[in-house]
Amino acid sequence: MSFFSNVLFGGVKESDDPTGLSGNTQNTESQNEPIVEGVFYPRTLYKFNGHDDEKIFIAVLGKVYDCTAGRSFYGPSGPYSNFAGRDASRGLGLNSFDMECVRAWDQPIDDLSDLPSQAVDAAREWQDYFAKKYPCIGTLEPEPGVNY
Amino acid sequence: MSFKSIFEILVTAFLLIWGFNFLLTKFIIDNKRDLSDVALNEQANITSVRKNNETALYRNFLVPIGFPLTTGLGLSLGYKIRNGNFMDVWKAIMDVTLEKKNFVKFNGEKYTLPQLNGMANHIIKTVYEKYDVKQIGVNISTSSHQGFVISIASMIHSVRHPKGNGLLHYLTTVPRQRMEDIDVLVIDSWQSFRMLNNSENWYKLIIVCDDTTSVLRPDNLDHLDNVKTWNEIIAGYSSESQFIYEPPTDNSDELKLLFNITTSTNFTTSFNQLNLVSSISAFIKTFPLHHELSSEDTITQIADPFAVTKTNLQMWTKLLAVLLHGGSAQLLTEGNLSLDDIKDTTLLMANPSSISILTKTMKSAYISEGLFDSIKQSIATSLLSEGIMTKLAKFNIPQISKLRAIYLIEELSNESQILSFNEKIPKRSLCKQINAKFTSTKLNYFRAIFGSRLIVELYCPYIIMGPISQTNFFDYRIFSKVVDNNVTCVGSMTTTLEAKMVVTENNTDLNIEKRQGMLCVRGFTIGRPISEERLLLASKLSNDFAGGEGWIPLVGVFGLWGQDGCLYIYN
Repeated sequence: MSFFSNVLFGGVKESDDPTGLSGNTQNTESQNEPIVEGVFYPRTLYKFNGHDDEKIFIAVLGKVYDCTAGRSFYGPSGPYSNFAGRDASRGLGLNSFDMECVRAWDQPIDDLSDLPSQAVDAAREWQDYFAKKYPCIGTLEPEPGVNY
Repeated sequence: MSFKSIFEILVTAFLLIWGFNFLLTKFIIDNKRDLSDVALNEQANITSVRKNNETALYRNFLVPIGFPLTTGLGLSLGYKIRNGNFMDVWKAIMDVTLEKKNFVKFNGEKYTLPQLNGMANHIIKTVYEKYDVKQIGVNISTSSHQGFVISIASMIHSVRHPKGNGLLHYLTTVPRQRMEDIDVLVIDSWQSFRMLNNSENWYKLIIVCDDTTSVLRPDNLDHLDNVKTWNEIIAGYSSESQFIYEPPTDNSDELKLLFNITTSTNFTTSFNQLNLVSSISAFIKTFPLHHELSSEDTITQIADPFAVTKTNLQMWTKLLAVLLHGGSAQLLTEGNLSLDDIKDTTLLMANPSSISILTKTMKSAYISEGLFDSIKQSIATSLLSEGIMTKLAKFNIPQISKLRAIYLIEELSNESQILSFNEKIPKRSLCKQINAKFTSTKLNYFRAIFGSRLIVELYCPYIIMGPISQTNFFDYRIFSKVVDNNVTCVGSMTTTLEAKMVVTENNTDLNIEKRQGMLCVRGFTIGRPISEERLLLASKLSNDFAGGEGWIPLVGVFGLWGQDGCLYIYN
């Protein structure tokens, strides 16, 4: 009866509290919370693959970039979807999108030591490209007991 | 009639009313809303990541993350895009006025744009060129035609001059110490002239905008040949409907200075052409589809007579945007407000005290219809709280018949703290952040009686041109008392600025994870401190509190981001 009762008794419809000051917070709050920039492990990075989480983070040479804006490239069904939520350094250096070029989250972080210098340089160029285009949101480090 | 029958009738009546209410709220009201709840709950673009001790970065919903903020007018010159400058704006205004015959009124005195253009060009020749003016100190309100013309003349001359000479400098008071670059001074009255107190010889020329036979006028001005009255300066001008301007082929003019502004505490901030054009552009973008600015619009700006310099900074954005669309403008001073002054107004820009004065005047002029009025008011406020604009309870007063939007100016009150760039951040509880505020219920009351939209805008005096943020054109939400008592909703960021909150040591009660903190802004409408000392302080403050990168922490301005993406400032 809200509308009628408001008209009859001079009330109004109160909107949901968007500030959280009244203690009545909306359910979506936890889902929309931004991620804090900082240290990522391959395990914690993996979920940001555009599928398990809407956000898309990609690591290149130890830096993690927020590539959510490039969803059409890195998101599910995109041409570079293999890189989403992973360390893409080897794939970018070798210009290869094969699954062999990205490591699973429980393997040691790829140090690219077996790659020729040209491929490492190519990966660096890609890193420069990512740095210009996407915000850097942290670093990728090995997780004790998992990646070393 | 048996008890059973009565019970059945009651149940049937209840079900009918419930059913009708269900249909009304779920289908009719939902379809009639100006803006859906989903849109009202998603009024910002927010970055998906944040730094430690900071909130995410918030932008207007019209500017996605990764895209540029509003930087200017986006004028095309061949295949290039220019941001534009004041000359582009004035040229367009003069071109439009040939067809639209729009005008500007100053406290009731009506001037056509060719008249104002003619006066400005006349002054350029008789003052700026003749005296080779480096800077002109203006201590009068731009709500007067003298202040307006001088400002226009300066803005034109400083862009045209290769060294930017003739720069406008708004002063809060008559200078007590010599300001080297100011060689012409414009003051409002002979009373102000007396305050010069033998500093007359600091200036090549002093223009007194008071042609009345005031008793304060000195008897013998013969020994002061650098003092002229406004009428002496303006004598012999003629209307000019043409404004000749050849735009540059690049954006080189956009960083030329527009004007300087000095506060009573002697803080000087400079604004450039980019600040102006991005501010105008951002304002134009605030209008939703089918409600755009047009030549039918008349904007009325009510200035606070005790805050002349603040008004001088903030009046240009909306005024030039309206004139650009062929609309008219009028500038009023709060002291002598009457309903007839706002006749034909479609857009009204006023502070809370002016709105209160107008409301009182309207109430006294309106013949109430008693109970019938109360019912209409109740329905209107209920509909508004449901998100439906209605003119049902609008006061039947001819002067407000055309009014379609009110811009309520909410100013940050701790301006001296903000301008000081002091790293000693005060405790939140010790500072009152907004001088006067209305509750969301009161705002809907105004919407109901004026029968117009009401947009709340947050301004930061002396340092940001145009608003920091503004509420949505269609946002009529009512908040709970807890919210209204603690914070003021000032809407989402303007499209030319982005913002974030940061943690401060003295305010541990503010939780950054709940999006609470001290406000920092970055964008294209922020002025630049003049003195090296303040510039260094600003830079240090920015680095220490907001990570540098162009962020300006607004010292002592505490707020929170709502889940709707709006900015809420603590009361």
